[in-house]
This record gives sequence, structure tokens and C-alpha cells, in this order.
Amino acid sequence: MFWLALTLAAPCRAQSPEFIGSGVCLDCHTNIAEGFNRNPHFESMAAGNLPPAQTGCEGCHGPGGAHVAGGGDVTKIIRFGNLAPSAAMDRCLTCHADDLGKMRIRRSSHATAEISCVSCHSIHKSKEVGPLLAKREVDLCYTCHVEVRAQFNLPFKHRVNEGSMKCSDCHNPHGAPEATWASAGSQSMVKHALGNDIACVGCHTDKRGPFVYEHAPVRVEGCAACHNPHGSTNPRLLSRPAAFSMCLECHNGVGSFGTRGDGVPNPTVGFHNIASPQFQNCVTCHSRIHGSNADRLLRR
Amino acid sequence: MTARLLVLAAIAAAAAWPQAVLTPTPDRSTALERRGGYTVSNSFETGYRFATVGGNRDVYDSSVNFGNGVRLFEGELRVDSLDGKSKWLDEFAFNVRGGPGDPYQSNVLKAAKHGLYRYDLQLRSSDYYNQLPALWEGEHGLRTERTWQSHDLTLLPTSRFEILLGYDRNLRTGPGFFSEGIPSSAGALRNTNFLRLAQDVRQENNQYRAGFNLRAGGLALTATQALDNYKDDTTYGETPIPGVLPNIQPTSRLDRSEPYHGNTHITQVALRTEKERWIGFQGAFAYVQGRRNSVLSESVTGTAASGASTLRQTFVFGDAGRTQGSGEFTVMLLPSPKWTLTNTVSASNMRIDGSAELLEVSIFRNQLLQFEHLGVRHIANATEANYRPTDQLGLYGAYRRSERRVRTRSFIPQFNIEQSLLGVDNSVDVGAAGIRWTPLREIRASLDVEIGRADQPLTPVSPRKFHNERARLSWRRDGFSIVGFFKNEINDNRVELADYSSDRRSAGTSLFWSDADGRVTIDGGYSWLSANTSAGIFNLIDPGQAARTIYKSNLHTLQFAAQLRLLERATLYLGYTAAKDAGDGRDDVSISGSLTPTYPNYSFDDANFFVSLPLTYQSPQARLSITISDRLAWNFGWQYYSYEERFSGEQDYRAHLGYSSFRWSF
Repeated sequence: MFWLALTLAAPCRAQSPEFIGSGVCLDCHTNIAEGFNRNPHFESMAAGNLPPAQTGCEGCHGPGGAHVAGGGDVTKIIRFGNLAPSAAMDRCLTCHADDLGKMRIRRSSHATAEISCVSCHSIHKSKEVGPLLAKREVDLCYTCHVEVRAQFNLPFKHRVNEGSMKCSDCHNPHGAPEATWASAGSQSMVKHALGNDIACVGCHTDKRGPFVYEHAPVRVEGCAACHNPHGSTNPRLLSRPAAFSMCLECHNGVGSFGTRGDGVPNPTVGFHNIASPQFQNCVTCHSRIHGSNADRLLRR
Repeated sequence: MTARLLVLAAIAAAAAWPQAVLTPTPDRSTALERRGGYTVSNSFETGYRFATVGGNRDVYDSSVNFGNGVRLFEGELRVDSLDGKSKWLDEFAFNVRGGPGDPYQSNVLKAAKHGLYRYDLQLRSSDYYNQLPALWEGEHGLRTERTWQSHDLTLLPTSRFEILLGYDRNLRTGPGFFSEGIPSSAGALRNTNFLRLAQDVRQENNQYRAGFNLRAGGLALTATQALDNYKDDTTYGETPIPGVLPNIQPTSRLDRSEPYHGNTHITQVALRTEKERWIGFQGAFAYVQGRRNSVLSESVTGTAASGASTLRQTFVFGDAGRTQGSGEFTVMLLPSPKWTLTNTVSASNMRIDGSAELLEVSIFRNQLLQFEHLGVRHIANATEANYRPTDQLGLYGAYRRSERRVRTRSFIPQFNIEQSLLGVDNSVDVGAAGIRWTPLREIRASLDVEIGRADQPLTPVSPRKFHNERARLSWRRDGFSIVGFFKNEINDNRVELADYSSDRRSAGTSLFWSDADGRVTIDGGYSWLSANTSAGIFNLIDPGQAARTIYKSNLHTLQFAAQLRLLERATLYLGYTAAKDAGDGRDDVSISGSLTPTYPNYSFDDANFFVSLPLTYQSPQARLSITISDRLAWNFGWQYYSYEERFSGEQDYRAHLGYSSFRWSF
């Protein structure tokens, strides 16, 4: 404790009159000092080369002189619980604005919904290693995203509840680049893999291509054209329980759809005997559905 | 070395949360000791899990897949320097879940010396036992395992110049099972049949990257260069052919190898203002160039359409390349605390070129040159504004427009047609607005509306005329929270015979309550999702008659958990999760059609397919944790899984999982 207090007190030197240094804060806030060496914010304090306005307690909570002079007057110090969401974010971005992963935070879905940093991060009471999350990541996301929590309770899902995946494997809660695979809708803050590809292919490397014969929707509209990535009643996370009906919804040959504006090709009449089980599941034969190097019709 | 306890709480009970998986026990010690110049905390939970499964084991393995055995459910070690000035190591953290034998494993390691280095490792694995989509009897066959490694080393972290190094490895291995159609050019074999192939999957991806972070002149610049190498050396062979399955091409010998290798070069640059001022900007650019080469060599001895024995030898070689450049530039204005304005321009241009040459030796001999081109160009602009007239009220508005051009060109060997290069343009306009209202500190409400129009969607199911509405209400205070939401998503894509419309409505709520000292916590949630889709499809039986596919899903999900701290040393956890899809309300698979559906999840009435999969999936669970000492706890838990489809019992399973474990902190 002595070493810790010494370290925290170090910024007391050469301070402006309003700043009192973290050491003074610790005289009262002993519960926060205990274990604070495990906090990522401790690193800048330990360095001891930053002015109090940029590190330690006052780096976030502002100058504490008036607060101390007022006998701990809580109105004389910045308390994040009392800040409006945008004001809380302003405080955090004082230091974190240049982080690569947070550079898009101002236009993230969270920020535009007035969800601030402290809605998810607990600076003093985090139980998680690393980004100071208030709870285990998946539990934290489920707190608000009730519908996503329901999707992960379906029979088939990505293994997020089981712990081998995290929400942040696919999403950046601080904002993601504009999707290169979809048009101007909500993008759900989906990360990019390999610079500018959809997050899915970061793990599903065999679906990434390039293939000689691509299945165009994969490239043009992304994996969610056919899949519900969170969870599904289909073992392949398809958006329909049967692949057959899902394929035919697009492959009906009519309209001005498709990559050439002349309709998405429909199955050959006569050959595709719908009474036969084989033809009731398209991927029995068209098994290279994500792309093929040997067959234009994605059969091998 | 002296050891002194800094903080020691009783083994703390975590708040109840409806766990989908009962292990690991979330309760953990907060014991923190000082050893030398470090604080140390360490705990692990190990025990035995047992599973008994009835019904369709394959479906269980696809969905749950836990088995018997001794497991390390969770382990955690943290070592942190007290003064942050140790010589080589200021921070060390290691977390492991699902130790040897579990199908889902995660290992996370972090080591750092402040200002000198920071190393992050993630090592994860997942065993797959996926249901085969290609065969109709619900067979399961892909037992592959995927392992991921990700190493990141940052030198001189938090300095003005950081060096970034990284390595990722993604490996997929194991036995698989595959089917494929027989191209019509291969007259030696029946092209109305398909082949069943056994796989020995080996797909390997390695990525090496290096870069830097530079902060200078009020700007921050990040640049990285990566080399990504992919190798697929999966081998194939014939599989035993059960006599009950029709349409399988009988083969007396099948040998195939199909290597598929390639490199991708990735260049990324991001530039942004270092500090937020009233005006700021960010720009990012990525250029990716990838090429993969493939060879397929196959020899099949089988029965020709004529019934005679024949040999088909196929050799295909080719390559495909994809070049994609993308960039975005954002201007951000913060004229006052009340306003946030951003405008983002983004562009992406991708082109994929592939060509393959095929040589086939059978009763026919073909030599064809095939090539394909696909290009996608995207330009988008998004303007977003947040205005906060008061601390209680926030308004949001956005307008987004994107223009996409898809261009293709290919050669169709069957008809010896070389297509011209043709482009199709699609523009999408989206307007969005929202209100955020915080009447009290504990209460938040939000409403969002989004309306969009596309003029040339890619497919009949793509968004054309769509609107989405979302509402959310939450009330949170110490020990209590309630959240409710409603979503409505409508898409109308009506063109000629391909009328397509879909609506998805969902609503739900979650509730949490805990008493003041945390002895009782209750958490529950319910959500409902209704999905209705009507699509015009091609009528394969009578092409002159219109046909439709109608998909209905009424999905109800429920989660409930209660945690009771009994006496001072025992904690009882009770949980229940359930998902029930009521489908379209049918009690019987058939409707009125003359065609007997093979799949239980759709019916046919001569013109229309009615698709739904009514099922019930539920899992009650219970756990008792006994605190033996401040550092030792014993846990015993049980979880039951039940999967039941209404129309068919073939896929159903039931499973009992139990475990007994000790969590030790030292």
C-alpha cells in the first residue's frame, strides 16, 4: 500500500493550484486505491510524466481542489453518474479520441442512441481483464439487446454462450467502417476482416475466396442474405428452416433482378424433379454454394 | 517473499443471469494477495462433467456437444506490479475456459511491461458436428475442429510511435462428409444422381502483419501491412453407400485431390485527428489484393447412364484473383455540446477475375476454357446529426445514400456464349430519425424510424421499399432494471410475378431484481418474434402456373434465473431457457397437396409451399454452490436439454448434463 500510495501521490508535484494530485484523493477514497494497480488507467499514473490534468483521478474527474476544500462536496467534482451521456463521452474521448478502434465512435449506433462509455464500462469496479467492462462481455450486451439474447437461445447458434466466441469478434461497439458488402442501411457495427471484407470470413476462411465462380450475393450483399448469424432453427443458421424454399425465393427467373438485370436463373424444368428428395434440397448437388473453382453451377 | 492479503471477500456470488450453459460457475473469489512487488489473484474451477443423451445423438452433437470427462471449467491468474515499474513484467493475465476435452475452449493471455511491450494472445477452439444440409435423412457428418490463434505484440505502447506486430493462425481439420452434383458434361455418369464423398479436411490460414501507430502534429496515423496465406489440402474419397438412399451415383472407386492455395496482401492506413476539437476528421483506406490457385484431379469408376461400367477422369486447374480498394472519409463537427454532426463519404471497388481450364476423359472428351468476372463498386454518403436541446431530450436524424454498380462477364461453355460486360446499378436512399428521452435519470426511452427505397435490388428478397421502427424503454436503478423493446421490419419488393414481401415483428422484455445485500436475485426475459414472408417462386411442376412459398415463424423465447444465498455458505441457482416456434399453427405436416413432402418443415398444395418448423427447445438447470472456506467452494449442477420438432420425431433428443466441481482460489 505504501508503494501504491507513493506512486499515486507522485503527480502532486508541479501542479496547477486547482489540481491536488491523486495522492490527496486516496486519503479518503481508499477503496478505489486497493487493487487500482490492475486498472489499465494505472499505467499512465505509474509513468509519472504526465500532468495531473491528463492522468490519475483528476485526469477523468477534473481538478479536485474545490472538492477537497469543500470537505468532499460532491457538487465540486465531476461525477460520471451525473453527466449526460454525451458529456461523459466527451470526458473519455479527451484521451481516447485517437484510438484506432474508437475513431468512429461519434457516428456509432451506440453514440447516436446516446449510449455513453459508462453504460458499458465500469472504471473502478470492473471484473474483467482489459477493457474495464462492467460485466462479462456477452452478459453486458444482453442487458440491452434482449432480442439478440433470444436468438442465442435457439437450438443452433454461434458458440458465444459457450465462451469460444465473443460479440466483439464480429462487432465493434465503438463503430465500424462503412460496409463494403451492403447498401445504405443500418450496419449493426459489423467489423471488417482482412481490411475490407465481411467479419464472417475472418474465421470462415474457406468461404472467403476468391473463386473462379462466385455466388454473387455473397459478395454483393453479404452472408446475411441467407444466414441468421446469431441463431436459427436451421443447423446451418439459414434464415429459413429449409434451404430449398430459401433458394427458390431468389431463383425464380423473373423481374429485373440478378447481376445482369435479367432475373436470377431458375431451375431447369423437367430435370429438377421436385418429387424427388434429392431435388428438394438444392445443396445436395450445388454443394459449393459459396463459390466454386471448377463448376459454374457450383456443383464441385 | 512475503505474502499479504490485500483484499479478501467471501467467495462472491455473481448476480443471477440466465445462463445458457451452466458451466463455469460464475461465482469467483475476489482474493487479492501481495507477493513481493506484485498483487496476485488466482482461481480455477475443475471437476467432472457427465452427459447422458437419448434420441438423436447427432442433433445433440450439432447443438450442444458436451460430453463426459474431467474438465478445467475455468482458470484465471492475474499478476500485476504494485508500482508499475518492474523490470520486465508489469501485468500478466491468463484466463482459460473449457480445458482439455471440452468442444469449446478459450485461452486468453496478456503480458505487458508498461511503455516497453504489450503481448496479447487468444487461442480458441470449437468442435463442429454439423448437420449435413445435403442429405435428407438428417445425417450428420462434419466433425471438424476449428482452432484460432491470434498473437499481437505492441512495442513501445502508449508512446508517440508504437510498433505493431501480429500473427494469426486459423486451422480447420477433421473428418468430413460431402455430396455434390454431377455436371451434365460428364456423360459417363448419371447427372441426375449425386456423389457422396468422405473428406479429410485440412484448411489452414496464416496471417503475418506489421505496422505502426504514429502520433505527431495533432494527428494519429496507423499503417499496417499484412500477408495472408491460405491452404486447403482437403482430400476426398468414396464413402459407403447405404442402400436406402436413392439417386446416389454408384462408384466402385473414387479418388480426388483438390488443393486450393493463395496469398492475400492487405494494406491499411488510418489517419485521424488526435484530439477532439470543434472540427475533426478521420480517414481510412484499405487495399487488398488476393489470388488463389486451384487444381482438381479426380478419377471415378462407376456406372454410366447406359448401365455400363465406365471411368471418368477429370482435371481442372485455374486461378482467381480479387482486388478491392475501399476508403472512407469523415468530417465531424462539434459546434457545441448540444450538437454532433458527421458526414462520411465511402467508396469501395472490387473486381474478381477467375479462369479455369477443364480436361475430362470419359466417354466424352471436353477441353474448355472458362472465365468469369464480377465487379462491385460502391459509393455511399451518410450525414448524421444528433441534437440535444436539453439533458433529457436528444434528437437524431440521418440521411444515407449509396450507389452500387455490379458488372459481370462470363463465358458459358455449354452454349459457347461469351457474355458482354454488363452492369446493373442500384441506388438506395435511407432516411432515419430518432428520439431519445430521459425524463428521469433511471428511465430512458428511445424511438427510431428508418425508411428506405432501392431502385434495382439484386434479388427478389433484397430490400426495395422498406421501413423499420424500433422502440426501447428501460428503467434501471440499484438492484432493479426492466427493459422492453419493440421492432417492426417491413420489406416490400413487388415486381411482376416475383412479388416478395416480408414482415418481422419482435417484442420483448427483461427484468432484473436483487435485494439490498444480494441474497436473492431474479432475472428473466421473454421475447417474441413473428416472421412472415411471401415470395413468388418458379413452379417446377407447372411452369405456366404461379407458385409461392410462404414462410411463417412465431418464435417465443423465455429465460429465467433465480439465485438464492442460503445461510452463509450455500448458493442455489435455478435457471430455465426455452424457445418455442409455433410455426404457422398447423398441427399436421400435410395441407392438401398431392405431393408428399419429404421434409417435415414444409408442405405443398400443388402451387404453394408452406414452410415452417414448429419446435420446442428447452433447458432447465440448477446448481448448488457450497463455500467450504474463503478459498474453496464446491459446486454441483444439473442441466437438461430437450429438442422436439412437432412434425417429426427423427431429430428429437433429450440430454441430462451434470457436473461437480471445485473452485479453488489461492
